[in-house]
Amino acid sequence: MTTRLAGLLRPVLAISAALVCVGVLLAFTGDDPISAMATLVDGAFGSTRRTGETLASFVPLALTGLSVAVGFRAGLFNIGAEGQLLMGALAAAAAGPHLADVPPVLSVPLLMLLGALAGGLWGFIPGYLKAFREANEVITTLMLSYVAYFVTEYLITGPLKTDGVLPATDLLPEMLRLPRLTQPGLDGIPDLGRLHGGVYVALGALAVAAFIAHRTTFGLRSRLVGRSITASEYSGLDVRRTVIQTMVLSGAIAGLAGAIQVLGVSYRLSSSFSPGFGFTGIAIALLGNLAAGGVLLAALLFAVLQTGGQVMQRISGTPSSIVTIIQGLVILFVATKISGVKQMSTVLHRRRARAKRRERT
Amino acid sequence: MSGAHNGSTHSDDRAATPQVGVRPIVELRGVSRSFGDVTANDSVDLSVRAGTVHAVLGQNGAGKSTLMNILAGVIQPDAGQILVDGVVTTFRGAGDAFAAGIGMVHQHFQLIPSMTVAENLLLNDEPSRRGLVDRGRARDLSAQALATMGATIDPGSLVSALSVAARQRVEIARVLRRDVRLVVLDEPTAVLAPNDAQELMLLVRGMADRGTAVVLISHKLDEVLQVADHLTVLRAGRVVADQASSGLDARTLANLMVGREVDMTHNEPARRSAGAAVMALRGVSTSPGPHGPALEGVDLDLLAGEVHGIAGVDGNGQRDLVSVITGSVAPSRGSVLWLGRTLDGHSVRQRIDLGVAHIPEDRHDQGLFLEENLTTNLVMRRFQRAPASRRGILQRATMGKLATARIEEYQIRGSAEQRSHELSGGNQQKLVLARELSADAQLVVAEQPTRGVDVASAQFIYRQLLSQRDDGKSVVVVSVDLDELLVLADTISVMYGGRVMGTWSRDDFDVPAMAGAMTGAGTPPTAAK
Repeated sequence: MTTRLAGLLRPVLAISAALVCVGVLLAFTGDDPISAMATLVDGAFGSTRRTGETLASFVPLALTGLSVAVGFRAGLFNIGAEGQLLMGALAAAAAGPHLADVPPVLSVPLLMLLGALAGGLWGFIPGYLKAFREANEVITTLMLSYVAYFVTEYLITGPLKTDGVLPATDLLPEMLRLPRLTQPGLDGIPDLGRLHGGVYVALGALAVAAFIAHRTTFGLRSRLVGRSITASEYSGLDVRRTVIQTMVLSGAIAGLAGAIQVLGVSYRLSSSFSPGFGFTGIAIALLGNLAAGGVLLAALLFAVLQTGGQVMQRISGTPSSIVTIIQGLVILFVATKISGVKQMSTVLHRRRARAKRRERT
Repeated sequence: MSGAHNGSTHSDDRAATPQVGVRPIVELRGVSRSFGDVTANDSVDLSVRAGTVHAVLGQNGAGKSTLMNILAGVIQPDAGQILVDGVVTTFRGAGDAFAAGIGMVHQHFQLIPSMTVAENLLLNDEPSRRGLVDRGRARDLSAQALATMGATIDPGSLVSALSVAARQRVEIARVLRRDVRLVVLDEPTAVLAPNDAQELMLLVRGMADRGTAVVLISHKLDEVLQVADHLTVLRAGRVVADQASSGLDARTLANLMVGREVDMTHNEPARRSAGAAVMALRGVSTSPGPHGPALEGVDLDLLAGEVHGIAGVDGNGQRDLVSVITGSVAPSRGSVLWLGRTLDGHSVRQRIDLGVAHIPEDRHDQGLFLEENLTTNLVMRRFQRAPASRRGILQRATMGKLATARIEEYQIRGSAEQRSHELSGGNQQKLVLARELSADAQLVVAEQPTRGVDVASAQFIYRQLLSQRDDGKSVVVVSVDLDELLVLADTISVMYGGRVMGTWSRDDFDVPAMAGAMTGAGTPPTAAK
C-alpha cells in the first residue's frame, strides 16, 4: 500500500517540482507563470481540435515510451528507440508506394508490420551483440541511432528522394494513410485535428504489453533477467535468448511508432520527421515507472506539454522551449528519486496510523 | 544473568597466567540495542581482557553481530556503557573504536584481489615520499606485518593468486598492523581446511600470548573449547553464560546456545543400502575458468539413497563440479550419465527437467530474486512449464496455491505476496529449501548448506537432507567442513586441484588420509598451488 503510494507520489512530486522551477524562471523573465500555464493547458484542451492534436502527438510518445520501458524492465538500457523509430518509418515510407495496388485493409497493417520488423531488426543487432559479444547496449543502441539517422538522411536526399527540392520521400497515396477520426468541414461532427486511427493501435499495444508483462512466461522471464543474471542462470532461464527477444520487441514497438507516424501524420519520411520521439520515450518510460499504465499517463502529460507549448508560444509569446525545460527537470527529479519522497511516505504512513489509533479510542 | 562486570576487578580462573591483564581492555555494561520491534541485545555485559581468547557463541539471530558491531563502533547502543581501560567512552563510528585499538576481521574478506598483498596491507596508509608511494618501504613494512603472522607470503604477489588460508592471514595482518589491542575474528575457520584451521588456532593462541585480546566468533564448538580462555553465550539477545571455558564440553555448550537438549547425532548408519547411480561422471574435465582450477578426469558415481559428501578446501574444483552436475558448464572431455544413459548437451533447464535440485552456496545472489515475492521465488526454476504455466501463459492461481502450501509446510514466516528480501536470513534459507526439496527431483545438490548457520538450523537442514536420501534420492553435499561430512555423508570424496583424490565409504572413513588428501598429499607437484 505504502509502496504503491510512493510509486505514484514520486512522479507527481517530480512534476510539481519541475513546474515550480519553471514558474520561478518565468517570473524572472517577466512572464506571468500562472497565465502561461493556463494558456498551455488551454492550448492542449481548449477545443476539440486541440484535444485531437494532443492525442495525435500522444501516439508516437506512448509507443516509444513503451519501447524503452520494455527494455528497461529487463535491465536493458535501450536508449536507441530514436533509431529504431526511424528504421520503422523508413520501411513504411519506402515500401508504401509499392503497395498502392493492394487493398488498404491489407496494405496498411502490412506497412505497420514492416515498420515493426525494421525496428525489431534495429533492436536485434544490439541485442545480439549484448548476448554474445558482451557489448554494452547503451553504447550500441545510441550509436545505431546515428547510423539510422544518417542512413535515412542519405536515402531521402538520394535514392528515395521525391521530385522537387524537399529532402523527403514521395507522399503516400491517400489510400495508404491511416484514416482521420474526423473529416474536417463536416457539420455537426467535432473537428479532432490530425488525430488518426493509430491511437487505437497505441492503446492496444499498451494493453498487450501489460498482459505480456504480467501474465506470460516471457514477461516474467524478461523481468527476472533484468533483476539478476546469476539468479536467472541458476533458474535455467535462457538469458541470451531473453536479451535478444526483449531487444527485438523493444525495437519493434519503436519501429511501429515510426510506421504509424508516417501512415497517420506525415505521410512521408523527411529530415524533420522526428523531433526526438525516441529520446523523449526514455523520459516517458522513467516517469511512467516502466509500467504500461504509467507510460500512458506520462505520454499524455508530455503530449499536453508539447501541443500546449506550441499554442502558448503563438498566443502569449512565451517560448515553447520552456516545455523542454519542464521535461528535462521532470526527468532530473525522477532520476534523483527526490530524497523527500521516502520520508514523506513514512510521514503519511505514521499520520494514518495515528489517525486510526485515534478512531479506536 | 551472570555478573561479568562484578568479576572484572579481580582475577578469574586463568588470571594466574602472567600475560593475562587484570583489568579488561574493553568492557560493555548493560548494553541494549533494538531494531524496530526486535531486541537484538538486552542489557549485555561483556568484558574482554588483554592476553585472552574470548569466545562469543550463539545461534543466528542471538545478537552476536549486533554486539560485535557495537564493540567495533559501527552501531551505537540504545542503552548501556562502553568502557575502554576503565573509562566510559562513546564510539561515534568505526574510526573511534579503531583509535581505541579495536579491530575487526570480517568473515567476508575485505581484500582487493587484483592488487598485491603489500598494496592491500597498506591501503589508505601508504608510505609516501614527496607525494609518491615509497615502494621499497611499502615492501619492508608489509614483510614485517606478515612475519608477525608466521606466514611466508610474498608481499609482491597478487591476492587473487593466494590460497584462502593465505588471504585470511593477509586480512588479519592488515588489522593487526595498526596497533590493535583487541581483535574480533568473525568465524575465521568457516572457510578453512582442518589443517589450516588448526594452524590458525595456534596463531590465535600466539596472538593472545603476546598480549592481544582476541574475541572469537565461531560455530565450531570443539575449536572454541580448544582455544578459548573465556566464553560468553548469547541467546535471544541476552547473556546466558559467561565463564571460563575449562570444564565445559561441546554438548553442554550446544544446549546452552539453543536452550534445550540438542540431538547431536545425525546420520543413522542403519539405512537402506544405496541403489543404482542416478548420475555418473566419467573422465570429466573442464576448461580453466575464473572459479579455481578446472576439473581433471573426474569419475564420480552419485547413487540413489546415498549422501555423497564432496570435501575439500574452497576453490579446488568444487564450483566446476557442481556446474557440470547442474548443467551450467559443459565438460571439455568425458561424459555425464543420467540413469545409465549418456546425456547429450547440457543446460540448467535440461537438468531441472530431468530432476536435479540445487541448493546454491550463495542463497542471496543466486538462490533468490530478492526483489520478487515469495510466489515467484518458489516457482523461479519451473515456471516455464505446467502446472505453473500453460502455453506461455502463467497460471497465477495455481502458482499462488503452490506457494501457500510450501510456505505452510516449511513454516516460512512471510506471505506469498511479500518480497523475499523482507524475510530474515533463516527464512530465506527455508525458502530455498522449500523450493528445491519439494521439487520431484532425483538428485539434490547442496553447496555449503550450513555455512554461517547456527546449530539448530543446521540440524533442521541435516534432517531434511537425510529424509531426501531416505526417499531414495541421491544427495550431494559439497562442504569445506570435513566434520560436517563425517556425520552426514555415507560416502566422501575429497577434491584437490580439480581432481578427486579419493573416495571413502562410511565403513572405512579415514580422517587422517582425508585431511591429507585435502592438502594434496600424494599428488604430482604440478597440481599444487
